[in-house]
Amino acid sequence: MEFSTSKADLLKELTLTQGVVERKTTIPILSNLLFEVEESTLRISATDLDLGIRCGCPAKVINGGSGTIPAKRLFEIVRSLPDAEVHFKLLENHWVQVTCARSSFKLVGMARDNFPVLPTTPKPVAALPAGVCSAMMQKTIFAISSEESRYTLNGALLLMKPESASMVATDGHRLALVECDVQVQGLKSELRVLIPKKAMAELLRLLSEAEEETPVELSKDESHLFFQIGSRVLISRMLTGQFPNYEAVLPRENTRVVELDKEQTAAAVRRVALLADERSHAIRMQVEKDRVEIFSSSGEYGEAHEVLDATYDKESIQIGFNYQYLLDFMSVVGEGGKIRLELKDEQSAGQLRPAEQGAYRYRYVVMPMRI
Amino acid sequence: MTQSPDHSIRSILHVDMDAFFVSVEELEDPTLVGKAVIVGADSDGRGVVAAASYEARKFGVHSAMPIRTAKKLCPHAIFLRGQHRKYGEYSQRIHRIFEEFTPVVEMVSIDEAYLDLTGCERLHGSAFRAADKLIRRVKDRTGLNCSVGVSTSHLVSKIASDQAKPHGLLYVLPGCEARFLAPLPIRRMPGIGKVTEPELRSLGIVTIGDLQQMGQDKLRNRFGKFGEWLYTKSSGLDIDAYQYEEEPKSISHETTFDTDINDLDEVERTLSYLAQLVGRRLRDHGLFARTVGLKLRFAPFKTLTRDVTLDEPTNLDSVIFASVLRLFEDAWNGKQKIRLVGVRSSNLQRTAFQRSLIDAAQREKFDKVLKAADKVREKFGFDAVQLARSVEPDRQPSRKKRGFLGRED
Repeated sequence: MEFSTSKADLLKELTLTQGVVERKTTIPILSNLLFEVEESTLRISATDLDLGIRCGCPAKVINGGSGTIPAKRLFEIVRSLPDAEVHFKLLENHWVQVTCARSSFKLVGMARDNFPVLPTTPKPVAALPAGVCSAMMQKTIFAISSEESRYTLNGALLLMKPESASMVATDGHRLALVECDVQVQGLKSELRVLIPKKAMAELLRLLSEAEEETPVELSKDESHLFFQIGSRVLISRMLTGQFPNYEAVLPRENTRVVELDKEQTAAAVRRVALLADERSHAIRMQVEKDRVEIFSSSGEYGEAHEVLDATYDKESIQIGFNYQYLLDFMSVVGEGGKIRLELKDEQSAGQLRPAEQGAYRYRYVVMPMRI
Repeated sequence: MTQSPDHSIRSILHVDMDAFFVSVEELEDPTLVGKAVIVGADSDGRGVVAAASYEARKFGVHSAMPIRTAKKLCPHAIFLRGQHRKYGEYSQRIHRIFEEFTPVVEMVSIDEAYLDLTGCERLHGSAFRAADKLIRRVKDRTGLNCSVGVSTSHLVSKIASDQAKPHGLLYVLPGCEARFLAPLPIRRMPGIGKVTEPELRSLGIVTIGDLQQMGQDKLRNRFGKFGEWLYTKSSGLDIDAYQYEEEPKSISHETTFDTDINDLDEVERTLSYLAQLVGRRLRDHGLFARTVGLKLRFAPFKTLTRDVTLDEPTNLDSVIFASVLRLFEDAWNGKQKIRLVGVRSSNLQRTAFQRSLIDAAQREKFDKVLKAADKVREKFGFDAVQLARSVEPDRQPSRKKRGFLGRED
C-alpha cells in the first residue's frame, strides 16, 4: 500500500471516525482504522462492534493494498501537519510510514486480517433529506435514556410513512416527539426503526458535513441499520426489544394552557435553578392569571423566586418540574417566539410546544416532580 | 437572658415499660409470676423472641433471638404466642396516663415513650418528682412496672432509663450529661451498631468518653457528617436526637410460616399481604421508597435477600408487591421449602422526586384507590380491605373476614 492524499481531505474523514473508534477497548485492533486503497480512492473503516463507519477521500495511488493504523495517534498527527500532501507507505511487519513536507512518522500497525469485516450495505429502503433527519434528531436525542438497564429506551424511534416522518425518544420521565410532512423516497408502506443514541450522535456529525437536501439513504439487514450519506456509511447494530407505546403517554386533557415567552422563561428557569436542590433539580411553578412564579430552594444554599408574565386565564395550579428537563426543551425548540405549557393537574404529565408550529410539529411531554 | 433558668433547661423523660409483654401476661395469668416466660411464638420453635421475663433473661434469653435458641438456653420456660390486642390496650392506657403529665408525648413504640416536661415545673414540681409520680401512677392504675430516665436530652434519657432498669429512676443532672455517658461502652449509644462499633473499636474507641476525647474535628475528618453527629451525641448535647432516630431508614415486615411450604400461591398471598403492610406504613409516615427488597429463608435456615431499585419512589402496595414478586420468582427454584418471607422498603425519602411517565395513569388510579382503602381501614381494621392476591380463592382468609378490591395487575 502506497499513496498520497491532501491533508485537509484526510483530516475531515479522520475527524468523522473518532467518535466511532473505541478508546478503551479490550480488543486492540478496534483502536485502529482500516485503510484500503484502490484505483484513486482511500477507503477508511472504523468500528467498535456496535457502530461502524466507512468513509474515504480521493488519493494518488502508487500501490494498492491495505493496512491498519492507530486511529487516535494518526488523527493527532494529521491534525498537526502543515497543509500539504500526506504520503503513506506500508512497511514490513504492518508498520506504516507517514510523511508530509519535512515530517516523517513510523506507526506500529496491526495485521489487516484481524480487523472485523463490516457488513455490506444492502439496497436502500427509504431516503430522507439530510436537513430533515438532522432537525428531527436534534429535537429528540437529548430525551434518550442513558441508563443501560433500559436498553429499549437507549434509542429513538424513527417512524416513516410515504409522506411523513416522525421521531420519538423518551427516558421514562419525559418524551420528545417531532413530526413532519416530507416525501420519503422509496417507501411504499410504514417503516419503524429504533436508532441507538450513539449512532444518532455520530450521524449528527456526518449530517453536519452534508447539504440540507442530500438524501440520507436508510437500509437494513437482520441485525444492522445502514445510513448512507454520499460516499459515507454509518452502520449500527439494531436495538432489539419493544419501544414503549408512546401514544398512550401523550396527554389529551391538558386544558390549562399557559403561553410564555421562550427566551424570558429559559433565562428565568436558569436563574432560579441556581438555588434548586442539587440532587432532585426540582423547581416549583405557581401558575396564576397572566403570571407564572417560579421558586426553588436548597437546604444548603437558600431560595430563589422569579415572576414571569404569561397568558393564562384558568384556575391557578402549582406544579414541580426538574429544571433540566425544561431547559433541554427550550434549548432545541428554536430561536425566540412563544411556547405553550399545557397542564392538567399537579401530578399528570405536562406538555410543552412552540406556540407556532413550523415545518416540524414538535411536542415535549414532561412528567412533573412530586414536591 | 431574663428567663428563669428553669424554663431554659429542658426536661425530657424516657419511659420504658419493664418486660412489657411478659408483664401483661402475668397480670392476665398471675400463676406466671416469678417464672421464666417467653413471648414470641408457640413452643414448636419457630419465630423470634418478642419479650422475655427477667427470670428467662438470666439464662441469656433476649428479644429478637430465634425461639429455637431460646429453647436451648432455657428449656423449662413457658412459651406464649402473645396477645397483641391486649398489649395494644395496655399501651393505650399507659399513653393516657402520660398525657396527664404533658401534652408532648411521643410513643416511639408500643411500650416506650418520650415525655417533654419542659416548663411543667409549676404543675409537677421538679422533673425528678414528676418521674417518681409517673412511675407510681402507672403501677397503681395498670399494675405494670416501668423505668424512667430523666435528663435534658432524648438520648441521655433513653440511655438513663436503660441503666435504671428494672423499675428504676435515674436522673442525670443538667450539666452532667457528658460525665454520665463517658464510662459507658459505645454500643449503648443508639445509632452505633454492628457496622460502626468495630470501626470505632479499631480506632481504640471503646467508651463514649473516648468519643468525647477524640473531639469534633477528628471525628468529622474520619466520618464526615456522621462524625459530627457522633460527637454531639457523645457529649449529651444532642437536643434533636429525636428527629434523627425517628426518621426510619427502612420499613419491613416479615412472617414465619406455621410449617415450611413450597406452595407458590400461599407465598404470593403472604407477599401481597406483607407488601400492603409495608405500603400502609410508608403512607402513614408520608414516605416513599426507592428500593424494594425481598427476604427469603429456606427450611435449612439459609437466608437470602434481594433488592431492586425502582424508577420512581413508591408507597403503592401494588408496585411493592409486583417488584417483590419478580424478585421472588427470580430467587426461588420452585422446589425449596420456604420458612420465612419478608418485604422490605428502603432508600426512603419524603423530598421531591421525579415522577415516571410510563404507566403514570395506572399509578394515579391506584393512589386514589389506596387513599380510599386506608380510610376504610381506619374504621374497620387493616384486614377490611385487601388486594385480591392476599386472599385465598376458595376459602375465607384465616385472620378475619376480608373484603375484595380486585386484582391489581
